Amino acid sequence: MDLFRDAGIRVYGISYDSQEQLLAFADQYDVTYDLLSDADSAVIREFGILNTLISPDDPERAAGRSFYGVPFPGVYVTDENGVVTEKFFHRHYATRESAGAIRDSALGEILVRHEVPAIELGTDQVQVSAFLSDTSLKFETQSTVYVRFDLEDGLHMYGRPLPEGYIASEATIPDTSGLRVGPARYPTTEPREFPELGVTLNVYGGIVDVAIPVTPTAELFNPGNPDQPDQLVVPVSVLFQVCSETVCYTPRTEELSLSLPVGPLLRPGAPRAR
Amino acid sequence: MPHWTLLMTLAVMWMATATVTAQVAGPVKPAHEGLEPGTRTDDLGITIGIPVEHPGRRYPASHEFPSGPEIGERLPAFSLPNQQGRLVDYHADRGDSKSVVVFYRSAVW
Repeated sequence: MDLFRDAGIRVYGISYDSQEQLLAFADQYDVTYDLLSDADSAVIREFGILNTLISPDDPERAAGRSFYGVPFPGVYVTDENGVVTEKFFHRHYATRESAGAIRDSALGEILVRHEVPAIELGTDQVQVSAFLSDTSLKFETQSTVYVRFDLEDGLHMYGRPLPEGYIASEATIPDTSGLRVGPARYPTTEPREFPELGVTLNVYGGIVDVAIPVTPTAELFNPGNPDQPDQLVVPVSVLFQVCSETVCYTPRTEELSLSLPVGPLLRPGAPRAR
Repeated sequence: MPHWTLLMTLAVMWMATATVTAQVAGPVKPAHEGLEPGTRTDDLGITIGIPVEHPGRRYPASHEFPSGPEIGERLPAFSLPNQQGRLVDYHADRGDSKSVVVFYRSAVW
């Protein structure tokens, strides 16, 4: 939570639980932000996100424990005016966005923390690093692996779209057991004219961050499985060719190996580690 | 606005919302309909002690389900009691801060 408080971001949780239930939960887990009680699901309905797959007359209701009234779970990120700038709604209720990824999305910048796992590769032209948005990977929680190219002054790399014969910078995570990898997001390129070549090409300069969503899946750990790994080695492949105004250096492909700590699986009712 | 600017804007918005679901007019299909009744392993491979068709495990079969206000829209005004019983008026309480609003299923189960 310090992550959000330090960034001046207010956090609200909304569920159909009663105030008493929320108080008990907040006490058990030391929750410091507002847990709001939408006991009749009126706000959930107003947002239009009531889970319509659960019927009001499901048998559980007779047993005094109704699941009717819960939302399709998700997260809205807003700006200073309460306008949605990003939202994260996943199909499966177990899947969620990591705190680090939400924080970076809200601020529109990447927070590089010392405690976040990272690996580096240096050349004379560019420093390449790969690091996680969070301190650890968590079950079905979508974190981001950032691959950062930090180019020396006056140098550039190419980005897509690009004519044939030029090499676009790339960062990829190959198929890894226990990890779902989303499509990489590249920053916007800048068109630059090269009069001697008679072409305009898309280039990157300065710091170039490629964001790759990664989600640990049930293959890595499953409720009831005691043999959960405490770390996952994630391969990161990078391809880049650095050029100056007059010369291009040899293209390089490198395999980085990012060792990421895997957080423990939380079990309902189990006290949370702090 | 020239067409290409609009297209670029739409493309940027699409990229920014890659994980956001599409809105649908028809009823949402449940994932458990495609699975063996009584099975405890769902289509993400997650195994727990209650069958996939149980109301507490129901989730959509596809990414087409309602996800409420869209990017660019202001969240609706609402006031709800917090865990201490204090009525929180969302927009007033937020003031001029950025915010993260999390809708989750339950703090109890």
